Amino acid sequence: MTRKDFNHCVDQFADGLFRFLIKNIRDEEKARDIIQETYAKVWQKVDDIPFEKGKSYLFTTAYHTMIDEIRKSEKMQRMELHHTPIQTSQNGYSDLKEVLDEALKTLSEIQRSVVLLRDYEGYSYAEIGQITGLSEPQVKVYIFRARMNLKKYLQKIENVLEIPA
Amino acid sequence: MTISSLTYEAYLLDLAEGNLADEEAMLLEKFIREHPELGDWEELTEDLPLLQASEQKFEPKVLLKAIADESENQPILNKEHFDWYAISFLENELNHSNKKKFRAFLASNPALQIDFALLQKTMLKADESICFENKNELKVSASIKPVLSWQYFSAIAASLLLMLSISWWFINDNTTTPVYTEPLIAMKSRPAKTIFTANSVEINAVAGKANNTEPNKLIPQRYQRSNTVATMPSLAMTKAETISWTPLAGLFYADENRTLYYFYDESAVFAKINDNSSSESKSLAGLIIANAAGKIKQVFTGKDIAEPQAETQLASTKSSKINSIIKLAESGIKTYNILTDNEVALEKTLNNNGEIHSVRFKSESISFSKQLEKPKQP
Repeated sequence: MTRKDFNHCVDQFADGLFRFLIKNIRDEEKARDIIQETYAKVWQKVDDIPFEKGKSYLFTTAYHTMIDEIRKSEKMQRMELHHTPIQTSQNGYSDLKEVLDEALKTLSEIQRSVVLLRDYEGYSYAEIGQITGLSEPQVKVYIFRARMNLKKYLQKIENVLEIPA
Repeated sequence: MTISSLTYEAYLLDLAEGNLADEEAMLLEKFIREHPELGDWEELTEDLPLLQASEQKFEPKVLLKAIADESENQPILNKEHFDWYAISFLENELNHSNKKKFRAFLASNPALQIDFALLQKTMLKADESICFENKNELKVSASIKPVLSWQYFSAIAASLLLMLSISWWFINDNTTTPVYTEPLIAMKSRPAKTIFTANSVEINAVAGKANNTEPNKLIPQRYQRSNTVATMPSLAMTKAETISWTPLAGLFYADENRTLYYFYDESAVFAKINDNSSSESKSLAGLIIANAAGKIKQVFTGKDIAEPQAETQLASTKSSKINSIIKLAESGIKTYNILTDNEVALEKTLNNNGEIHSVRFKSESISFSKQLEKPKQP
């Protein structure tokens, strides 16, 4: 991949990466940091990465950087959880997007990642497997579990109120 | 599935979600204890209660595989397996026959249509309004790292050219330095706007050959012309490894109005400027360098370079030997600046007659000048 290709990858994929990270970690600043780190890491190996695999490399790197970041901050969050009561949603939803946003939070990291890669980026099960280090059947199972959990969440909410689409 | 360093995390999640059989849990523990680099088993499992626990009891994984299978051993499409079929349908994982069955089943079970509608809503759509705004911060400019080896090589070559042209000028008695006489050998013109590969030139260009009669001189002054067909050397920049007076050897190009081939061939340079006027008066070296620089810049920036610039710059070199050398140095500096993103300058001072009086070479760290006019004899 040349410098020009690399810059093209910035134009093409930075938005998608940002969305993927935001939905996963819910922290814009961290998402920006991870994107910076991701592109810096990819640039270091730019000569070895074919242009057509640029997107996959970026998402793989971003995913693993994100997981590292989550693990780093997990202990701190746990300590905070001992002292802070968990905030529950007041069901002040205005549309389906908001409900799904909340529903996504209830998924495990891995379920959320695979379903976002599938729906946002249209990756195949095999490609998601490459990015996340899972086998294809595992990816399928996690996606199915994610959808079932989302469905359950929607079901609960719909029993309480009607969600505008 | 096998427990490996790639899959153990998924197994840990399965364990956390209560989806791992006792036997599998034991195997997982054994695997992690055998691979201490993955982490401490107690520490890893300590985290588990904090993970999202799933109350949903899922079907065995084989069911999922079987749904999309063409075989006859498919699970029956009933209410119990409905979710799995519905998700497979939405994920476009069902074969044609199963899709048909599923549609029919759904149509005959209105109560399940609500479930299906909910599952449809779980297909997420990216929010296009979320954008990463600071893309320019992520982009890399040319000066940070040479991307291609030939560009790196060209930068070195340009530096050599710069040093050569400047030192040649300043070391020698400039007023008596002979201007290099360019060898101009007829070649078949080829109107095109491409940078040729060595092969395409070899096929389409009939080249003359200039034989250097002074092979031991760094800057040969005499050549014998011959009508032999030249052998085109490879475009590979390794050809320029020999330090000749042509550090940009190997670059050649053609445009619509003139054809200019330039390459290193046994220390000789040969080229054809495809116009009717005699080009022998022009500094071929300077022209080549300026055009090569333009072409390289074109590759870097993707912008078209004004080709006549080189011609204009060099058209007046016939009358002035000093001009020719300075133009050569200027071309070298220009090439160097383009390739290395530097701002080295060569400033000229003119006398009352409009002739060049002195030259100053300036860079960030050094600056020196040279007076060009010889003191008049009393």
